[in-house]
Amino acid sequence: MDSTMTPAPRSVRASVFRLLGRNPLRRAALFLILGVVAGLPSMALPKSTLLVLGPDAKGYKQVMQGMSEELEDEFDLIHRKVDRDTPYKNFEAHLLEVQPDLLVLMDNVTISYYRFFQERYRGRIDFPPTIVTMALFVDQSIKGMEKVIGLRYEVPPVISLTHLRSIIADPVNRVGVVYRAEHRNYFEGQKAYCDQEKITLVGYEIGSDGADGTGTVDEKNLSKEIRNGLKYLITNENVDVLLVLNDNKLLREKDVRTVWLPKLRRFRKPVVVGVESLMSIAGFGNFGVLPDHYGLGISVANLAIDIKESQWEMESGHVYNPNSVKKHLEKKFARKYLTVPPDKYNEIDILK
Amino acid sequence: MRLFFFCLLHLVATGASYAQGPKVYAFLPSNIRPHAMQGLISREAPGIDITFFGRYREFEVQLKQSRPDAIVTFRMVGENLAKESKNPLAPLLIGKREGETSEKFILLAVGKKIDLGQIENIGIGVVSLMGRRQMAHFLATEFKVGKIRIKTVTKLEDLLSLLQFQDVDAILVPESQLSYYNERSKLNLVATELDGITLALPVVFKITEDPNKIQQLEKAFQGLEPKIKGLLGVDQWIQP
Repeated sequence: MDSTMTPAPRSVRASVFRLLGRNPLRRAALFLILGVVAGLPSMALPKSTLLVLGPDAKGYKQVMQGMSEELEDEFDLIHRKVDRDTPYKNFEAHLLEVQPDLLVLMDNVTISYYRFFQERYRGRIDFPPTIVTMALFVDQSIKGMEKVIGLRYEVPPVISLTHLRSIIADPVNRVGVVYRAEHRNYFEGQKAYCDQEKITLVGYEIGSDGADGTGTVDEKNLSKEIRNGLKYLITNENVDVLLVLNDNKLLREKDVRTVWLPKLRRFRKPVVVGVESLMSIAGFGNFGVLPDHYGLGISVANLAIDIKESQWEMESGHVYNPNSVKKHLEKKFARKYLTVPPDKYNEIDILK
Repeated sequence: MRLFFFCLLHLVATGASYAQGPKVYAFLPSNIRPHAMQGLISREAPGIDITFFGRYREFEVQLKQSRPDAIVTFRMVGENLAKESKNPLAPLLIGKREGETSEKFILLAVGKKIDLGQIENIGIGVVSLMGRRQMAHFLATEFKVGKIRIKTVTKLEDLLSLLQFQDVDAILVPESQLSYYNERSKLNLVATELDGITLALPVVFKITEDPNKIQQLEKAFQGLEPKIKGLLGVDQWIQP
């Protein structure tokens, strides 16, 4: 069901905005004149329109809540449900009807649709500045798109590890990460952030020897590579912590069962994960640092304000990191194998 | 038999009303999770029914929906709520720490001090103690500038990530939190002192006029152990 948080006369406004274009000064001037003519007591500038396209499941609703509470003085927020069951023509219709000043896309489906929309309308209409969030590996998803920035969904390792370090008294100096060659840039970027916090990310790259160097390895070799990677990090590098990236290709059900779990069960040190499902598998993640969806909404709001204050200018292609997380700790594991000062349990969101 | 039944009912009803102490809503962002803080205070002061909120909006909405007997929050938050609702809030107890009822704000930045002459041009990360508009207005007034660029977060720890990713030039924190950030981070955090910009410490504002409840509230807050008072950011409560 479509939900419009702040209803407004779309057709009239769309016509006026089409007439005026996106120039905020022209808009302000017109509204000032209209205000004088109408004898309105207030001369406040009109709010801008922000269209959110995405699913309306629980996590998405929390992002919306954070955004709407933070932006209520600056934007009229309109949410239209778009998910994998929504046909492209509906997505296009929402965009053309609302003609927002700012667009927020949630989920990978909306990104695919918007890429197609841009190809279809390039040179014919002025695309609004767009923020993409709640999508996996947004860095790659938005490449080549016009006036689009991203807010990552994955919790950056530097945030996860700073939290872990502040909770446990055990060392968090050298952290092992298995990643595919396709995510090399992401890994290198995060490694640099961790270096600033004096935490060394020790990587094991999978697929770098592949013919095209894109991390493409066949199924059988992938399992073997993950096994080798974990063995290398745990035995050769003797890392203090393992950090598991949210990469579905590395976390296939069979590999979780036959490769990851046998290695992790003997590790007895922190295993940091970024999704709840990996905390639910006994013997897998014992410290979860998961996105705080409300906080993600606040981060989107901060970006929206920046864009508005920059007269709708932005550096297309830039990808930002989320700030807010929820911390999960597996109590039994922590009590048995980690050193957690008693007061620190009060800083954990979910103790299982 | 009927008499016995009525007596029993009366006892249950009065017992229930005695068991239910004054209702208190608290909004004091800290590194401790609201549910944990609520558990700690409830154990320490069973005579009050306290609920902690982690976000200002949640706190504000709940206040409108169901009026408690008292609230505990920073003075600026209470004053803002009173202004917005046009209902004055009377302080019942004022928090004090090391003899002061307020503390200095500082700006923390990575590797350098902030040039306060350029304050309009820098991005500042803040914990949202009120709404974005109110926070921006408060800071612009305090810094005596027309406008200020802020990025808001809801939790103390989130401020650090704004610095880690250089999303802001500095974060605004009370001076007593410097050690918290230094313990968490290995970044070279440099403090810039702000002359005269202060945060008034938490205050218990009363909403009820019931003298029994007021007495219960005073007793409960005054009786908290020093460690718990410390978690609320005070070392004593004084009468206004």
